[in-house]
Amino acid sequence: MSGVKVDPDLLRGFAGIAEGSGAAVGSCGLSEAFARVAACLPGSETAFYASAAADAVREPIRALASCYATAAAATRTAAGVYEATDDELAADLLKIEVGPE
Amino acid sequence: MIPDRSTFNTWDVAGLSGAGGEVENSVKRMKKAADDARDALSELNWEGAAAGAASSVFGDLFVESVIWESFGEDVSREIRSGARRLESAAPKIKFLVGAIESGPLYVDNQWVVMLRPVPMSRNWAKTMALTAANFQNQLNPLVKELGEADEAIATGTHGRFGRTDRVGDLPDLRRSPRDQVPDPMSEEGLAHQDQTRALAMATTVAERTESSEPGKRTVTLTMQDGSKHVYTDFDAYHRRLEHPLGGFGPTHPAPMQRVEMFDPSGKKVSSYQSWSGATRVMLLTEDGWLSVDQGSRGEILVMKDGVEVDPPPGLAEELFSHPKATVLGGAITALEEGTKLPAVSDKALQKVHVGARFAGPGLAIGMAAYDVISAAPEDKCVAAFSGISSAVGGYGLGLAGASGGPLTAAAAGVGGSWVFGYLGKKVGEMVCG
Repeated sequence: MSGVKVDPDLLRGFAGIAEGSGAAVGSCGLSEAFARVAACLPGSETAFYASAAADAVREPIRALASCYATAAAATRTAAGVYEATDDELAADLLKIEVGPE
Repeated sequence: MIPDRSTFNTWDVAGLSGAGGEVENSVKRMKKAADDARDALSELNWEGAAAGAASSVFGDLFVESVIWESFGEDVSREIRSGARRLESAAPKIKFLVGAIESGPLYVDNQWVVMLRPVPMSRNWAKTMALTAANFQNQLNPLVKELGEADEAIATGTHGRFGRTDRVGDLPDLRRSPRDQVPDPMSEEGLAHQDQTRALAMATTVAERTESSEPGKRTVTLTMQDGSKHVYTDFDAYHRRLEHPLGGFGPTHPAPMQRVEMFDPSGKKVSSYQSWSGATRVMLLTEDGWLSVDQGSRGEILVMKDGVEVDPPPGLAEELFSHPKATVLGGAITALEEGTKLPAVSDKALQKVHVGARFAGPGLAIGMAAYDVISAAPEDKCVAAFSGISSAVGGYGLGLAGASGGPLTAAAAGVGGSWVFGYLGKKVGEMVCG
């Protein structure tokens, strides 16, 4: 294992930003934009394909947003684990009394 | 897809560019989200195996966002490019249609410039027909442009989806909506327009005159194309008529009605007579006059140039009491409804005013013959007859102008001849072989 350097608070901050990115991807509006295009020209070839496009992009975008959310959740959990491990180690170490009884 | 007029009227051309721009805005939001995450990660003072893994994941997410951004920008460009073409054509169409419809012309749902059903002299109708053709030539390229712009957006979008594996394929191009009107710049489309206008002019009353003298009343209906229907109601008592089934007609007073139809050059092309329960229809064919007589007891005699011929099975029963003639109502054929042996109805004729649609009894005969022939097994006969009669039938039923429909076939067969002259020709061919 290589060297580890981490600040759990900063890690949580990053997790928050990654969550926000996931939400932004999920609500980017691409599917809705294609639906708007379709609504502009009812009955047309454009509408036919734009409607299909609105459906076709929905799931890939949801999956992409889910990747951000999963990575953010893992990062947030790790921050807690790092912090807990550090606190536990500190507590354990502080229990050690050095010197004559 | 070339839209018909009613579809085009539902299009929000002005809003399309904005909607296309929103496609690009949305992928830019995806890209910004990836940028934010990657920047935040790079500023984090985080080292170790997990930090390396996070860098890899968010690096991949960034690459994804670049791919989606490129995809969205390309699609958006296709949409906005087509939108600009539509934005250019649409106001020109609206302006031109407005100009056309400010006078005695109008544009139908198939973008055909037509003459309004209003009183007009023959010279005025001729001038208006030329004006309609001129406006048509201005309108056609604009209508074509609507279809091409729409197709460009669709093809471009379809192609861009096909070049990425990030989304599923769009439906096959062959499944996309077809043109709602024949291509107005093609030979077929131009023929469709000419034929639609010609049929309407041949069946729209432009002038109506009435005259009467003791024992005789005449109504002359002049159509927009100059053809005429002359209805005469007179007392057969004053004449000694040859009966169509042989022998001589009544010598006692018997009202007789007759409708004669003349083409724009003044040549008689059909006549319909009824008296004392008997009916005679005559149609001019390329090979001479065809006459179909029905006696007062229902007996049928078909003659070609005075020689008796055998009609196809079923023709005799259908010819004088065709259901479509009843569906159409008496107005367009002037045949009295609901009778086994329909006669020209004075009451029905009274409803035929200037601007009304009128095709005379020949229409009913043509439709009846068409249906009988269509039911026969000889495909050759069906094919030969499916031209103008189906067109006239379609016109009468309000189906004229359906894309790729009977009018197209009719137009291909008619050439430059007068629309109803062909009806007579085909009826003759079918009945007489």
